[in-house]
Amino acid sequence: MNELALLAGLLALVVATAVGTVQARNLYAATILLGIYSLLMALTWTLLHAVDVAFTEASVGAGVSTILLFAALVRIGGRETENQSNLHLPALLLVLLLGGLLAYGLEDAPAFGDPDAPVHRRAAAFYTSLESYHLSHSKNLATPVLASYRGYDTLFETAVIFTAGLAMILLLRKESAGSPAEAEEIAEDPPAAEPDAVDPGRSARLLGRPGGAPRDLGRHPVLSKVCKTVVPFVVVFGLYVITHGELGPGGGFQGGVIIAAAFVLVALVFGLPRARQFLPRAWSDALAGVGVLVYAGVGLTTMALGGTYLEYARLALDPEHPAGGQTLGMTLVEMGVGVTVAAVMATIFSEMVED
Amino acid sequence: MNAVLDVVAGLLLALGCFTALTSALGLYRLPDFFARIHAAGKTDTLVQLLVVGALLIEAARLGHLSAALKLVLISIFLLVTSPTATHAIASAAYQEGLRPWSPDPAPSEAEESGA
Repeated sequence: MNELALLAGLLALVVATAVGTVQARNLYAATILLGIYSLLMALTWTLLHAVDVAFTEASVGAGVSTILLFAALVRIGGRETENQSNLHLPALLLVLLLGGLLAYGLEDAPAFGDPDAPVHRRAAAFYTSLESYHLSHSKNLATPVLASYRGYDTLFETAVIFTAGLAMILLLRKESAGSPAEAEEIAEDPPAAEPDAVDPGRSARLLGRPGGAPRDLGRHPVLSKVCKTVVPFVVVFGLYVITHGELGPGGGFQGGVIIAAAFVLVALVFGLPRARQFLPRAWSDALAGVGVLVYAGVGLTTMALGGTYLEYARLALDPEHPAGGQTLGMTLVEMGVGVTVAAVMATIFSEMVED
Repeated sequence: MNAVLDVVAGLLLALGCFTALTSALGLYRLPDFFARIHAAGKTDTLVQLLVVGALLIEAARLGHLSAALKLVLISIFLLVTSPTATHAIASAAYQEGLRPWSPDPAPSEAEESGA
């Protein structure tokens, strides 16, 4: 009963933040509200005992998405343009039609939490069974579902993330930018004196990149000290989350995002060129692909060993204990996911704030 | 002994909730950005210490030692990062030209025109 009241309160706040996000005309405010929305959703998932989803929502939704949206606002400015016509009739009709279809479809869906729903009788019943545990030996129920039973699905999710990074590079990267000579040339240019609508000098100052006023690190002793102290722990925690996904909440997506957050933190405090010294552009470009290749390669390896694609049991060093192969396979694909996610998130952030 | 610990944890939790409420009220009611962020900063440090302290007592009482250790680590992490974030936001606002609100703006204006 208490939990239900808490859930109702949380969902009410979720709806309130969602409405606030849509209503806000200041896009910075809308981004912050969206972050709060994700945080509330993470709490809701925790309350529903979906800890892995909560972890993803907190790290991806509230964490890195907020940062990436801010990075986009640095480019496009923080005000929403006034929309002249308030009512777009075809759009309204489309929304009503789709909404009506969804409501109609819900008629046939099983009731919320119905134990006789097909999902609970077939797939989920097996995923939660002791038999499944003996197959995978994974202490975290969510990981074999993600990496093994639905391994193809996760492989293509990783490919989608790789494609997103590729699209950012193709759309936003300039040919010559990034060569050292070019960077020095930009640094010697005086910063733009005229503040225009978006004021590139301002975002440049905030990010301490060449082109803006050089960042005076002596004026940020607290930030640089704390950043230097925290970043190693953040990276180690990210690696822990990636490799530990099999035993507890976590995995490649969450861990990769946490490592990318360390990159963003260094870029915010010391400037993007400094962050790029830790993860050079060539490296992050390559790693984005390497992660997908590791994942796909695990599948090809199991085929070469005589199994089907992603049949992890074939990786077992001791054929008597196929569960060892499951552990190895799932850890390897989680690492692949983590590498791709971290590299692509770092790429998206850099391409957004760099020009 | 257990009952005493329970009561202490409950008191800490209640005090934490009350402080969080005053902090939220301050965020809503105080006149300018710097005063508001000052109020919000209380949640990051004092409230966090009170609530984590209460949970720590409960975790130790129930014998969840790994949970207790995690709570201590979370508390230390928050104690380092949250005030830094508050400092960064306030400092960024100051650098962008935002100045603290004053109930009596006359003297500073006179100062500026005099200078």
